[in-house]
Amino acid sequence: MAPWLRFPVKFLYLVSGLVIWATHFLLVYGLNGVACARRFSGTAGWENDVVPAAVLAATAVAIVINGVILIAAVLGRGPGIGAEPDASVRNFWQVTTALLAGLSIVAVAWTGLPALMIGPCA
Amino acid sequence: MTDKMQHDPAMPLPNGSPRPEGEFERLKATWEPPRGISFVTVVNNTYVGLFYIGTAFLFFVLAGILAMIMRTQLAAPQGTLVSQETYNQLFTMHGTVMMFLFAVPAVEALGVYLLPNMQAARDLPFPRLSAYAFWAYFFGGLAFFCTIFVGLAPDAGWFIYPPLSSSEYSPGINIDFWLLGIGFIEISAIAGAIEIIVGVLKTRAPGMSLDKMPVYSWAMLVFAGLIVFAFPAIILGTALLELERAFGWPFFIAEKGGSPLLWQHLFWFFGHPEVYIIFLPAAGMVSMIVPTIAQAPLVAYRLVVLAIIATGFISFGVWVHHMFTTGIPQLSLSFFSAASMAVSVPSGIQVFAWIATMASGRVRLTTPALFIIGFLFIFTLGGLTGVMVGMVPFDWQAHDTYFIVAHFHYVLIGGMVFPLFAAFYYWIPQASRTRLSERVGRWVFGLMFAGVNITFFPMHITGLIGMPRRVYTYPAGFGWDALNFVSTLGAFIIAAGVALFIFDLLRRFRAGEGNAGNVWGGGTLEWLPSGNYANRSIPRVTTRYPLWEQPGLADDVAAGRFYLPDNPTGGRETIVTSPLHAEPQYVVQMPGPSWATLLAAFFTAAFFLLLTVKLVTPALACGVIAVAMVLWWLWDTDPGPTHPPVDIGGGIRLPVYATGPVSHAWWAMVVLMLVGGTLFACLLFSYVFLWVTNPSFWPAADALPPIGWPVLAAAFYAASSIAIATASRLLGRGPGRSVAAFNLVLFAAMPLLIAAFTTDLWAHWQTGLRAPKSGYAAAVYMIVGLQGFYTGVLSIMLAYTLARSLTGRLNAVRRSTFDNTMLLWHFGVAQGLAGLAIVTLFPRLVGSG
Amino acid sequence: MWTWMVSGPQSALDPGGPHASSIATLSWIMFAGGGVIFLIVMLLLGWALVVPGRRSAWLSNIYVVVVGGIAFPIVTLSALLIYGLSIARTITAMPGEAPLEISVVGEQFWWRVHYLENGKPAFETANDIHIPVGQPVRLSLTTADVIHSFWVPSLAGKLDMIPGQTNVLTLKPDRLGVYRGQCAEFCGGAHALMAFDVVALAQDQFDAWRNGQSRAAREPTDPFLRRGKKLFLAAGCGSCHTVRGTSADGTIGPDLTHVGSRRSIAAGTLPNNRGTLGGWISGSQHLKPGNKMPPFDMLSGQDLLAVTSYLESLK
Repeated sequence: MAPWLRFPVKFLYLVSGLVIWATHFLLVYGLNGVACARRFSGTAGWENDVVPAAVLAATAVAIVINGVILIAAVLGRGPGIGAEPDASVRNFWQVTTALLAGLSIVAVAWTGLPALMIGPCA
Repeated sequence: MTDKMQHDPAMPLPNGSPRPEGEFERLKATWEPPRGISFVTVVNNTYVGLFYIGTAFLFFVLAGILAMIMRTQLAAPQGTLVSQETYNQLFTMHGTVMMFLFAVPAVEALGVYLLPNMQAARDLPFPRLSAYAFWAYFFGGLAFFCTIFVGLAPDAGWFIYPPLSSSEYSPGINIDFWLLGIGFIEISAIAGAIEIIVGVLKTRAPGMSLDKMPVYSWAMLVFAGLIVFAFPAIILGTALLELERAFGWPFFIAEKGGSPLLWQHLFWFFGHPEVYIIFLPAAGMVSMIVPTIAQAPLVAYRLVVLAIIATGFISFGVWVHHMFTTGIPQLSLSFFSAASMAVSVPSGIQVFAWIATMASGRVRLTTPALFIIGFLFIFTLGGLTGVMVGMVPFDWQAHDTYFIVAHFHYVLIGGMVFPLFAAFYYWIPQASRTRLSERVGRWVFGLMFAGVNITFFPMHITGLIGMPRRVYTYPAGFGWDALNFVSTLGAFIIAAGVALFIFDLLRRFRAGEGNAGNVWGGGTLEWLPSGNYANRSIPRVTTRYPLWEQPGLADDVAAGRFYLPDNPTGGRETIVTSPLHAEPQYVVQMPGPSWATLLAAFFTAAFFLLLTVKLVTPALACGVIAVAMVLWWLWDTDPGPTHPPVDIGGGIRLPVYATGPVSHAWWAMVVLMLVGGTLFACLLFSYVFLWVTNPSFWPAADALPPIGWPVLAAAFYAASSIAIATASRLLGRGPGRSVAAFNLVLFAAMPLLIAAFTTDLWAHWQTGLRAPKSGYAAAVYMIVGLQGFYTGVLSIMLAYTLARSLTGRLNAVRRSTFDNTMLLWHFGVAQGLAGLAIVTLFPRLVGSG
Repeated sequence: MWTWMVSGPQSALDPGGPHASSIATLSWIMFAGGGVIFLIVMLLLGWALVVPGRRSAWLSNIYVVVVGGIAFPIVTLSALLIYGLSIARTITAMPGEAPLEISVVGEQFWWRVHYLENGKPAFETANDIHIPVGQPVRLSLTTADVIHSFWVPSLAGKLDMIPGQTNVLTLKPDRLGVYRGQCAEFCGGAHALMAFDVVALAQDQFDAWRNGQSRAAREPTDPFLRRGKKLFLAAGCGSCHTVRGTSADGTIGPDLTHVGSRRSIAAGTLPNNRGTLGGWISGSQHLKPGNKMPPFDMLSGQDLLAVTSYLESLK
């Protein structure tokens, strides 16, 4: 890996859990937004079936991906982590990456939860 | 070599002592600020930082006075101190000045002052840029504040929602002052963000790997990242609203295919991260102060760091909680409610880490400690009410009432102002020959703490029993009278505390040579002996608290036994280090003071302000002068390798110039491209949002320009990028190359870019589409118009680069200027192609109506 | 116990209907919970500061940070989120029985109210909403100009009135009484003086009120009142105001057909009597600067009395 890429790659890995959260969030919000706007302008009707299922599916996928990131970080796997010579630096990356993935799992779960309780365009 | 130095503290120090005769004098002389009237051109981060902090504090006091007038008006029902019209300007200015002219500049100013010191760098990487950011803010901010004296202050609230703020309902220039007046604040903030990101990542003390970096550096890194991704939304929003007001481009007018909610989305996508922009640096400061007052390292450093990062990210997912009452579907609102719960968790982590740290040491109740305790009390209370208003049904009652006023004052005053005062008492001994009085400090704290609670706690009740926000008066008999009176009393108590502080500050604060020393026993590098040159030599660190855990560090640094105790190129230098492990990479030659910077700032502010009062020709003239000043300032930079690689000590030999992805200039341009990319993404969002809400305004395929036009424009764009890439290769050929060929190919890129933009513009113009017609048309012309702006900027950059080449200041090695132009050029082309794609393909894909 | 502090006709903590009630309950639970959490955190802070050495060592353990900062908030906030969502779901659920349909249009700086029948306006009034206790009401909220917000805290949360869209608010009063509402989104100049009354009546009283409002204006028999009516029309009031049954049919300002029956005038700014009506007509800009009615100060004292007496008679 080119030397100048090391920091961006490592940093992206560090925040990958949060990036998954953000992607999940944008997708579910965007989907519901478009679905309900279409309904208000009279060209949909599918939202009640499609939206909750899509949100729950996306939530499950995001949680699984974050789980993989969390486990990989705990095991010391991932871009740049294994090759890190300094033990304290390596430990720092592992702990923070894993915990950020863990917190993101909670955030994703909380985001998906309303789909179980609230209809899409109420 | 470097690994060994990291792990073996018994290794000999990089440089021997005593140092050669005259070395220290030369170093000091290089960093001396200018004398006489030229003093205002100073670029040292310490002086710029102090000016900046002072100006921000001035705005705090000014906006506070506005609040005192408001509170006096509201002390009793049917108050007659000020008219309705004046009151509406007062509350708008109070909010706007506090948020834009005090809070963000204050935390940025502290970063300008503290960050280099805390990382043992001699200055920020772009000293003239921070001076420019300060002066633009100074001139522009003061002029903006003066609008209240002539009754021209904006009066539609600090978030100026359209249609109230559109030209139909706000026909005067008050709103234009807000829109254009905030323009230079936006520039200052972006400039500051670039400085700080590059400063945190590239100018740390050798050995200060990311896991040993002060929490404050982490906080400022995230702060700057928030600015990069949040400010573009408001930059775009203010541009759109100004275009609507001035030229009738109906972005926010529902009847013409615009949407008032578009403004709210853009504003709050910026507005919520804005409050974390304000809070996170304060939290970072608290994480520096608490270990010192407890005389113990911060507990759970990694948790605190990840809490800061998590807060930064999640703060981008809560913006609609400011829009819970707009009728957006309940499921969508719930996503934001969930994220609002999530964003509070990292703050809780930090609070417990601070408490744990205090428990692990012994806290002496000095004034900084008192303000930290006050911060914990007030901010925790505010954070808890924040969770409450994150619950949608509760917010349906609390929104736009005094409950919200109570909440945000608790989190902002608790979360930022109290840490700010703690920081004043804590770090003034580092900046001033005399420290502030502890005895007076206790009184300041007591008055402010009592005052804040007396003012704002009753407002929780006032709001829930029915008093809405932004009302110049209220009827008697609803139970609001006594509560308002108590709040007003509290405001006077706060004012007394602040006044007492100012009295002590004027009495004691003396900046200049020398400081009061490490009076609190701090463990981080800002407490090393320092002067205008920062530290005599740049230390290698092996721990998070070097002054506590590396014995003799201060003496070794002051004696010049660490890196770079001299200035071999004869100018201002600091060491650029790698972002992950802070290993030295090169020595950067930084420019010194220049009148160009100050004049550029003045004329930038003048440009915006003259445009507001519709004096277009003088405004344009000032704009041209501002650009000329910037180019004059830049002319001294990019010096090239004026000196062979220097020995900084410890056997490390570093070049004095770097280009390509390792260089600080490249990184700065990357950050700027992130800003530009975010702006463009917000614009694409606006286009799609208007389609979602007003699809009937979208054209049928036959109303679009025939596909040949965008294809031609795309070809021109691609050709201009090819020209730049070719020029890059020609430049890299070294001494054997043809300078003339390079100059020609370089120049050719400009007409190609201009042709691309003109083709794009003409394609739409010749269909008869005009921007004022509909929200769709306005969005299309905005996409095209943004390209026009980039075309202009890139043309100027290209002309400048050509000038460098023609005057022999550009070659295969000395190519930073060219590289920066190249980066932004390719970005501009990519953006142009993306814009063409979306405007051409999106309507064809979705059909019309 | 706190009722003296939180009661009132415009208090979210003095609910008069189920929506406001469930929000009030949520509020009290959150205040109590928040208060307890706050106390605990402050106690821990105090312990860390005051208790010396070994007896506070447990508090400096990283697990305190994990439990207090991560585990406990996750559990509590999950529960709170679910609770809050369930309340939101109840509030936004469609009413079981057929609701009373009203449309409210926000204006600078007053409220235009239409009572609907089969989706079409049956009659118009202003700043004054009467509803029967126990029946759900469905309010369609729009605006004629800028963003306003319809808020009657004792009955429900607020909902904005935004150009280009219609927002629907459902509420139901459970308790007889007069509830006050106020605009809750800054709408310019006299935003502070843009209030309205919601009167919850027994069903039979409401029917009587509605029938009365549907009728055209009472034709005056008294000569003084007839003079007032003539002056009213002659002064041009009819170009902005409607009085059904007369030639006054302007729609720029509030419908005045039954203005005498309202509790207040100028959108809750003043009580409704001849004196305030007279002051309003001759100098409304002094009483509510920035409102859209020009002053009519050319009427003589007697003429003004005649006009205001006429208006007062329009019950």
